[in-house]
Amino acid sequence: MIRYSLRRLLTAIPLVWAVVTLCFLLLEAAPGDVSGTLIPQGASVEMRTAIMAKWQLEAPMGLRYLAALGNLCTGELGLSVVRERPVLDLILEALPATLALTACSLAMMVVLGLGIGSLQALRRGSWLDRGATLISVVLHAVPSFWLAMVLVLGFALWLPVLPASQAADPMAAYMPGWERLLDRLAHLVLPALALGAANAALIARHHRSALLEVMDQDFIRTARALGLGPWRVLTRHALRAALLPTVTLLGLALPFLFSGSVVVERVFAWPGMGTLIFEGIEQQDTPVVLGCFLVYGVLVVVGGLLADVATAALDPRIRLD
Amino acid sequence: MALPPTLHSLRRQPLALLGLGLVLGLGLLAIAAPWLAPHDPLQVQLGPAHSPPGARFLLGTDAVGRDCLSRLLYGGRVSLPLGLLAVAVAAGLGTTLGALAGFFGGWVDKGITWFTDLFLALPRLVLLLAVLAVASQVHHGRFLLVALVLGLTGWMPVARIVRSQVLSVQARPWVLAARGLGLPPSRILLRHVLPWALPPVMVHASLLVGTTILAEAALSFLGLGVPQPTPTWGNMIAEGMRRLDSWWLTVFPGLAITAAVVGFNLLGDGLRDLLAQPRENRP
Amino acid sequence: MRALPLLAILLSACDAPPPQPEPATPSPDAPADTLVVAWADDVESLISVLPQTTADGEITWLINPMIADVGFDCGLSFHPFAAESWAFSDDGLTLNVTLREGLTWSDGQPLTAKDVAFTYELAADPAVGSPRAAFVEHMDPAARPRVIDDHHLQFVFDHAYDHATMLAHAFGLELLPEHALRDADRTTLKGHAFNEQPVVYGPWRVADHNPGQTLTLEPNPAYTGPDDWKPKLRRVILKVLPEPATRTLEMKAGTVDMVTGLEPEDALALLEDRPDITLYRRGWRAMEYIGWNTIDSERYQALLEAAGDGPRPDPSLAGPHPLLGDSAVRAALTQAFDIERAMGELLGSGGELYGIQAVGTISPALCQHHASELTPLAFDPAASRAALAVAGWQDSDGDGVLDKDGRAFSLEILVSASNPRRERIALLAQDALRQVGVELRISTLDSNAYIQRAVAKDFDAMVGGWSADLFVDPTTQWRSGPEQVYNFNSYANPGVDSLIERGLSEPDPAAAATIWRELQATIYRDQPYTFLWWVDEIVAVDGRFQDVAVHPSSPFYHLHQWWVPADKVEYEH
Repeated sequence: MIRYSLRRLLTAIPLVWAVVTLCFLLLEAAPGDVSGTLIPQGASVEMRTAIMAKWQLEAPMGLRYLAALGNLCTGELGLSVVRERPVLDLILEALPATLALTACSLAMMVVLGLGIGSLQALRRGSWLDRGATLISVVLHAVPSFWLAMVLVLGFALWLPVLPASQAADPMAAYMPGWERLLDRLAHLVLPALALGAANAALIARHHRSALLEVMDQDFIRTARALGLGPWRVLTRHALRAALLPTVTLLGLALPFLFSGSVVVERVFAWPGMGTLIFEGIEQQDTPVVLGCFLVYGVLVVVGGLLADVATAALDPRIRLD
Repeated sequence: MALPPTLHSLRRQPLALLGLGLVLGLGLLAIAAPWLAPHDPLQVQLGPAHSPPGARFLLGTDAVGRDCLSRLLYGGRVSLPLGLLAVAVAAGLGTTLGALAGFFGGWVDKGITWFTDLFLALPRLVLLLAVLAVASQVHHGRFLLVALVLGLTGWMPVARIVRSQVLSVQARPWVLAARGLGLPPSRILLRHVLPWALPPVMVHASLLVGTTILAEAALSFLGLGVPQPTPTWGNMIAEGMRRLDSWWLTVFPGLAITAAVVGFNLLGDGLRDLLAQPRENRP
Repeated sequence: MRALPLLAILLSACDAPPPQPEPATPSPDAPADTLVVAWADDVESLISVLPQTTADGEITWLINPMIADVGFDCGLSFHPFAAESWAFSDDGLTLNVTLREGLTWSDGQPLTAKDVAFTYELAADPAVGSPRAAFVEHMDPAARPRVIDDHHLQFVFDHAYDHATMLAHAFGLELLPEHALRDADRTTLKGHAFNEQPVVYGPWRVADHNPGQTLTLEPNPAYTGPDDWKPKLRRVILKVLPEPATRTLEMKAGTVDMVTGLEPEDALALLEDRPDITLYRRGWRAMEYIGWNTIDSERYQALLEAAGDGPRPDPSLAGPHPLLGDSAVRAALTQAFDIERAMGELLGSGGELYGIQAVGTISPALCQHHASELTPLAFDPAASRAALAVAGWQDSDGDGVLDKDGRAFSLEILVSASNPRRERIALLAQDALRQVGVELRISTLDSNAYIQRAVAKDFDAMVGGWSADLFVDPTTQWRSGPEQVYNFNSYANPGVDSLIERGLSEPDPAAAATIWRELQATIYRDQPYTFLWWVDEIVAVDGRFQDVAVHPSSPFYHLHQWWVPADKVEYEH
C-alpha cells in the first residue's frame, strides 16, 4: 500500500506541473493583465511605467513563466500582485473555510445519502421510496447557485432560522464558547446543503441500488430466513458491501466539491478558496491563481488516492498495483 | 451487430419514457418558439418593466420590459443546442481518444491516459480560465466558444468508458478473427470494435447534457456566459438574481433547466438500465 | 469519517476573542449599540497613500483622519481637527498650519508635524507608486510640507489656484505615523504589518479583522483629540458581502443595519418591507454618459501598432471618426434618445427621482461651478432624422438602417458588465437609435477588458460613468493630447484646453466659476458625449440610529456623532 501510494504521488508531480503550466498559458491568453486592477484611473505615465516594471508585466512570456515556476517552488508560493502578501498566507487564510465547508458537505452527503438510500432499499416500492427518488432526481438537476439562493430565501428570509451568509456572526468573537460553536455550525448548514445536496441525491440512488443488489443475494436471504431482523442484516452484512460505490463516488465528488464551491461561496460570501481563486482570475493575479491551482492539484491527487485506498480496504478483491 | 436499443423496448421503462417526453417536449417548444412566443424576446419597453406574471405577459417581464415567456422559449433555442453541441464535442473527442488508447495500446495508451488524468485533475474552474481567456475578445462567437469550452472539459469520462469498452471488446472472437484475416486496423476499429463501445457512450452522453446545461448556467451566473441580449436560461437566472423580489425572473428559467436536466438524466438512466439487461428483477 | 468535519469546525472556531476594553463603570453616556454595515469589499490596505479597495478609503478616514475635518457645502469646506488653525500668506502661495497640541498615537508617541510631512513624502515617492501623488503636484518639493517645529508646518505652492482645492491638496491625505513606517520597505508597503495592526490617532481603532468577512471598529481608548469627537457607538462592524443581492437581502432580514449604493427600485421595495429604515441621499456623486469616439478607431489601432513600445501617437493623426466625427451627427444621436424618460424609469421609484439630467462632468453639488443654466437638448426624433439626413445619411436599401456611400450607420457600443444599470442604458439606447435608423451592437465586457479597449480607443461608442470630483479639474476627461489616456474619445478643442489652464490657475472663485461655466457650455455644444444624468446615491440606515449624516465623500460622515437612544439599543454587548 505504501509503495503504491508513493508511486501514485510521484507520478502526480508531472501532472500537477502540467496543470500549473496550462493555467499559466490560459492566463497569458486572456486579454489584459493585472495592470487593470493595479493602475488606478488617472495615473500618470510615469506611474504606469513604474508599476509595469515593478511586476515585470512587460517581460517576455518565457521569462515570466520561469519566474512564476520559481515562485511556486519557494515556501511562500510567490507574492500576490494585487495585495503584495505571500500567496501561501492568503491560501492558509482561505483554506480552513473551504475545508470546513467541504468536510461538512461530505458528512452531509454520507449521512443523508446513506440514510435515505438505506431507507429506500428497506421500503422498496413504497411512497417513501418513490418520493425520495423523485426528489433526488430533481435535486440533481437544479443549478447549484439557484438552489443556494432558494435555500437562503427559504431559511434566512421567509423562515429566518438560519444565517444568510458568511462563516460566522459578525459578533461571534464576543459570544461565549459553546454559542460560538453553535453559530459556526448554523452558518455551515445552508452552504453545505447547497454544495452537497445534488451529490447526496446521487449517493442515495447508487446506495439504494447497491443495497438492493446485495440484499437479493443468497446469504442475506439465509440470514433473514434464520430470523435475523432487517436492521441487523443491513448493518452487519449489506452495508459493508454496498459502501463501495459510495466511496468511489465520494472520491469522484471531491474535485467537484472544490470547484462547485466557487459558485456557492459567492452566493454565501464564504471566505474560502473559491472566492480567492475567482478574485485572482478576475484580477488576473497570476501568482495567486497558480498557487491555488497547485494546492487544488495536490488536494485532488491526495483525495483520489485516499478514495482508492479506502476502496481497496473495503473490497479485498481489489488489488492496488 | 449491436444496435442502439430501439424505442419500443424503452416502453418498459416508464421513467425513461417520461425523460424522453420531457426532452422532446422542450425541444419542440424551442423549435416552435418563433410561432409560440407572444412577444419579441428582444423588444425593450420602458413601461412594463418588472411586471409580475399577468394577462399580458404570462410569465412577467424583466428589468427592461422584455417578455419572460418569449425569452424562455427562445432561451431554449440557445441552451438546449449549446448542451447538445458541447456533448457532441465531448463525445466525439472522448470516443476518438478512448478508442485510440484502447485499440493501439502501448505508448499511445499511456500518453492518452496521462492526458486524460491531467484534465480530470483540473477542477471545473479551468472553465473559467478558458472562457475568460478568449471571452472578452470574442463577441459574436460566444455561443460556439462556450459550447467548445464545455465540450473540451467534459470528454474525459467518455474517453475512459470507451477505452475500457474497447479493451474488453478487443479480446472477442470476431475481432481476433478480423485481425487474423488481415483486415486493415481502421476497418476493424470502425466496423467491429467501436459499435460495441458506443451504447455506454450514449448513456453517458445523455447524462452529460444535463451537467453541461448546468455548467452554462453557472458560467452565466459568474458573468462569463452568452452575452446580452441573447436569452439563455442561464443568463436569465443570473440577471434575475440582481432583483430577488422579481421571483419570476429566476423561478421559470430554473424550472426550465431542471426539466431539461431531469429529462436527460431519466433518459440516460433508462438507457443504462436497458443496457444492463437481461438482468431480471430490476425494480 | 464523521469525526473529521467536527474537528475541522472545532479547529476553525478556536480563535481567541480579541481583547475588549470594558469601561470601568458603565455610565448612561457610555457608548452603546453596534452598527453593522454591509459593504462590497474587504479592507486590503490601511496605508492611506495606497488605497486598494473602496473599504480602504472609508476605514482609513475613520482611524487616521485628515488633519482637518472636511465638510461639504456647495464645495469642500474645512474645519479644525488635528489642524487647529491655518492661514494663507498674502501672495496666496504659502499655507501656514498650526497643529493641536497634546495629540498622541495609540502607541503613546506624540503626533507632530513630522507625521504630516512623512505622509506627503510617501505620497510623492515614486518607489511607493501612490495614486495620490497628484496631491503634491503643485507644491514646492522642499515644502510639501516643510516642518517648522513639532506643531507648525508650511505648504508652499508653485502657483495660486482655487483656495478650496489648495486646502484639499494640503489636508487631503489621512495621516500615517512616521515612527512606525519610517523603516518600511517602500516598494512593498501594501504587505506591511501595519495593515493588520495599524497605529491610529483618530476616534476609532481596528479591534478585529476577519479577512474576507468582517472588520470591527471600536472607540479608540487612547484618543487624545477634541472631546466632541468621542464616539457614541460601542462598535462598528463592516460585513463583507460581495453580491448586491445578498446585501439587500440582509438589510431586509435585519441582520445588517446599513447598506449603500442601492438601486432606486430596490430602495423602495426595502422601505415597503422595513418601514423603520431611513433612506439618505448622498448627493450627486456619479454621472453616466454615452461616449462617442471622435477619431477613427481603426486607424488609431494601426497607429498604436506602428508605434509599438514607443510613445503613444497623437489621436488627431487618426482623423475624424467616419460616422461620429461630426458634432451635428452626435447631437442628432442625443436627440434620438428620450433621456428624461429613461432617467425616470431607471432612477425613479415611488414618486422619488434619484437622478438629474447632466450637461457636463462638473457635479451639480458644486453649486457655484455647475452650469445649471444650460438646457439639455430636447428629445426630438424628427429633428434627429432631419439632422442625419442633412449629414448625408439615407436609408437607400430599405433595410431600416441608414447608410451613406455604401457604409451602414452601424456602431459597436461597449458596456462594462460590472454595473447592471449600464446594460439597461445600452439596451434603451439601442432601441431608441433603431427608431432613427442607427444600428447599435452591444458588446458587454468584463471591466478589465472594457478599460483596456477604452484606453486603446478601440471602440465606436461606450456607456460609461465618472464619479464626481469634489473640486473642479476637467483635465482628465477633456484635455487633448496623447498622454491624456482617460480622455477616451479623444476630444480635442484648443479653446477648451486654454479654458482648463486658466481655470486651474485662477484663485478668485467668482472668476473661476465663470471660466468653468464657459467650459461646460463649449463642451456641451460639441456633444462628445450624450450626457445622461447624475445619480444620487441612496444609503439605507436602520431607523434607530440618530444624527446620521452622509456626505459626498463618505457615507460615514461624523460617524462619532451617530447614536442610538437607550430604549432602542439592539446589540447589548
